[in-house]
Amino acid sequence: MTRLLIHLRRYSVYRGLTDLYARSPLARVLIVCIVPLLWIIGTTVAPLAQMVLVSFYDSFPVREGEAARWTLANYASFFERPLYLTAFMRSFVFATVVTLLTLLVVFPIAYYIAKVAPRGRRTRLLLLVIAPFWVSEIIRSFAWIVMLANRGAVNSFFSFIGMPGTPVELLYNNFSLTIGVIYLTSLYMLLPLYAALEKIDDNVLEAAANLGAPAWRRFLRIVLPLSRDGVVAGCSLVFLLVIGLYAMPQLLGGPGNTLFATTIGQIFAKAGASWPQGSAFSIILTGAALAYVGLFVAIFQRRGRGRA
Amino acid sequence: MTFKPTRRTVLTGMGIAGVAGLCAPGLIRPARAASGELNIWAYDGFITDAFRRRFEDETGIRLNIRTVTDQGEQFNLMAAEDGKFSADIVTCAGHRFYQFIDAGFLAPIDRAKLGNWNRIEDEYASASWVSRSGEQWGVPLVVVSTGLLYNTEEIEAPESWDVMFNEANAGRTAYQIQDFFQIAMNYLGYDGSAASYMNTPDVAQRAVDATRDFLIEHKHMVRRYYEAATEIQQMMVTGDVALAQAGSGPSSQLIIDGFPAAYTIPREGGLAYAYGFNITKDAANMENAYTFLNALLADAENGAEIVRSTGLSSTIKGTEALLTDQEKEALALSAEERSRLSWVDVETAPFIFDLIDKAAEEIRAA
Repeated sequence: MTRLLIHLRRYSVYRGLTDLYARSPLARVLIVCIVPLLWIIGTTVAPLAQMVLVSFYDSFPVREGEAARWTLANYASFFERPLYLTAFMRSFVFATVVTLLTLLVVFPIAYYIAKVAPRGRRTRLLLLVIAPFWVSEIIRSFAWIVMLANRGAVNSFFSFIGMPGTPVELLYNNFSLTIGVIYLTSLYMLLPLYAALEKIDDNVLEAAANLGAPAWRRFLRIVLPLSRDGVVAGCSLVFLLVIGLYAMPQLLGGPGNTLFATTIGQIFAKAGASWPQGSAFSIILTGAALAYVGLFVAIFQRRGRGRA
Repeated sequence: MTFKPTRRTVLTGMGIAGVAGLCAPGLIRPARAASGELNIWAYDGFITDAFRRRFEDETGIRLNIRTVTDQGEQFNLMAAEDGKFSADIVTCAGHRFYQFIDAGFLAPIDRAKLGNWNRIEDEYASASWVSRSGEQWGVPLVVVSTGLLYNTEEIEAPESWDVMFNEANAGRTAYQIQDFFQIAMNYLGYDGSAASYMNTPDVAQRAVDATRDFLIEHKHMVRRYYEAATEIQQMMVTGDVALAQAGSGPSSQLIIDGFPAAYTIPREGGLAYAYGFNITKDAANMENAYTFLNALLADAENGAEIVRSTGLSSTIKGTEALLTDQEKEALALSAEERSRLSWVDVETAPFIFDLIDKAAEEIRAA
C-alpha cells in the first residue's frame, strides 16, 4: 500500500488532489462529495427537473421550428376531473394500509432474526429471506398469478378438500394486489428494522426481565422505542415504493383498484402529446408523497425527542 | 521492443477514449447504417424465425428486432428519439398511423422501390388506411378483427354483446378499454366510428360520455382490463374469465391449441383493422428496408408463417391456399359475421380516439 502511495505521488493529478485535500476542511468535503453529488444530480435531480419543465409545456415534444408554450393547464386538469382525485386518494390509502400491514408482517421476522436466532445463523436467515428478491418483480407477480388464479394452486387445494363455493376469486382484486405488494416490499422493511433491532443491547432486555417486566411491557417500553428509527425508515421506504408502483398493480390488480401511478402510466402510454399532463401528475404525486412521508417522519421524531 | 506506458501515454490514451466515448452515439449510427443491418420494431410473431433465417442468409442483412406491444409505446419511443430514429421499420396499426405521420415520424412508401407491392391482396393495397395526404405510408401485413371470445364449456354461443353486461356473468369478463369502447358505443346505439359526428363534436362528446358512464356503471362485472392482446389467452387458460372482447389473433391461437373456446362477431358488430410495416423518416438503412419488404411480400409462404405465429389473417396473396383445414377453420368467420365487421375509419379516428382515450382514463380511474 505504501509503495502504491509513493508511486501515485509521482503523478501531478494525484499530488494536486492531495494538496487540495490538505488545504481546508471545506476542500476535503468538496473532494469527498463531488462524485456522489454529480451522481445524484445526473441521475435523480436532472430527470426530475426535466419532468418539471415538461409539465409546464403546452405540448411535448416541441415541434421543429416552434417555440415551447408555457401553461398551468396540465396541473389544473388534475383538479378539473374528480376521477383523478379518486385514484390519487385510493393510492394514498392503499399505500398507507400496505405499509402498516408490511410492518406487522415483517416486524416479528426481523425480531426473530435479530434477537432470537443464534448469532451464527443470522446471516443465513437473512440470506434466506433476501433470496426471492434476486428474482424480478414481474416474475414474482406471475408466480402469484399461478398461485391465485381460478385454476391455480390455492383454488386447486380448495377443490381438493371439497370446500364449497370454489373457485374463490382471489386474483385481480385488492387481496391479490395487497399480498403481492407486501411480498415485494418486505425486504425494504426488513433491513432497516433488523439494523435497528440488532443494535438493542440484550442486557437492557435481561435487566427489565429480571426486574419483573413481562414480555409485552419489555416490547412496548424497550423494543419499540429503541427500534423507532428502523420503523420510520422502513415505513418511509415502503410507502414511497408502493405509491409509485406500476407493473405489479397492472398484473395483479383489477378494475376496482387502479392506482394513480397506473393512471399516470396510461397517460404516458397514449400515442400523442400527453407527456406534459403525465409529467404534471407525476410531480403532483411525488410532491404529495414526499410531504406525506415528511410529516410522518417529523411526527415520530418529535415524539421520540419528547420522550427522550 | 517492449511498450512501457508513461504518464503522458496513459493520460493521452484516457483522453482519446473519453472523446471516443462521447462521440459514440454519432459514430455508431452511421456505422450501423453502413453495416448491412436493419432495425425493426415489430409485434411478437410478425417476423418469424424461419423468414428471418432465410432473409439473413440470402441477403446478408442482419435483422435487429425489438418486440413491441403497443402503438403508444412506439410513438413515445420515437418522440424521445427526436428525429434520430433507431428503428428503420416500425409496426403501425391502420387506424393509429395518422398520429405517426402527423408527428413526422414516417416516410412515404416509394412504390418504384417496392416491386412486390402487387403481391398484396387488392382490397388491402388500395384501402383508405394505407393512404394519407395523397401518399402511401406503409405495407399492410396482417388483418385483425375484434370480436367476442368465449369459453364453450361455460357459455352458450352468444349472439349479442348483451352477455358482457349480464349480471350472471359478473366477474367473468375482460376487455381492452380503448378497443371495446367503439363496440360499446355501437351496442348502445351510437355511432362507434364517429363518421356521423364529424361536424357535430358536441354530439360525439355526449355519445362518448354516455358510453363511458355505462361502462363505469358496469365496472363491477369486469374481472380485468387487459393491455397486451395475448394476456387474454392466459386469463382464459387460468379460468379467471370466460368471456372477453378479444382480437382474432389470440383467439385463433387459443382455438388451434385445442382450448374449448370460440370466437364470434355478435350482431351489434365488431371492428376490423390492419397492422403494417412502416419505414421511418430518414431511416438509416432505407435500402435495406425496401429489400426486406420486397422479400417479405415475395412468397405466400411468408404470409402462412405469420398466420401460424400470430393467428391473424395475412394480406399476402395466395396465403390461404397454404393453410391447413384446422387453421382455416380457426381463422374463418361466416359471411354473416364478416358483414358485421366495420373498418376503423382512418379519417374520423383522430377525432374519436382523442375522446375515447380520455374516457378510458376516467373508466380506469373510477
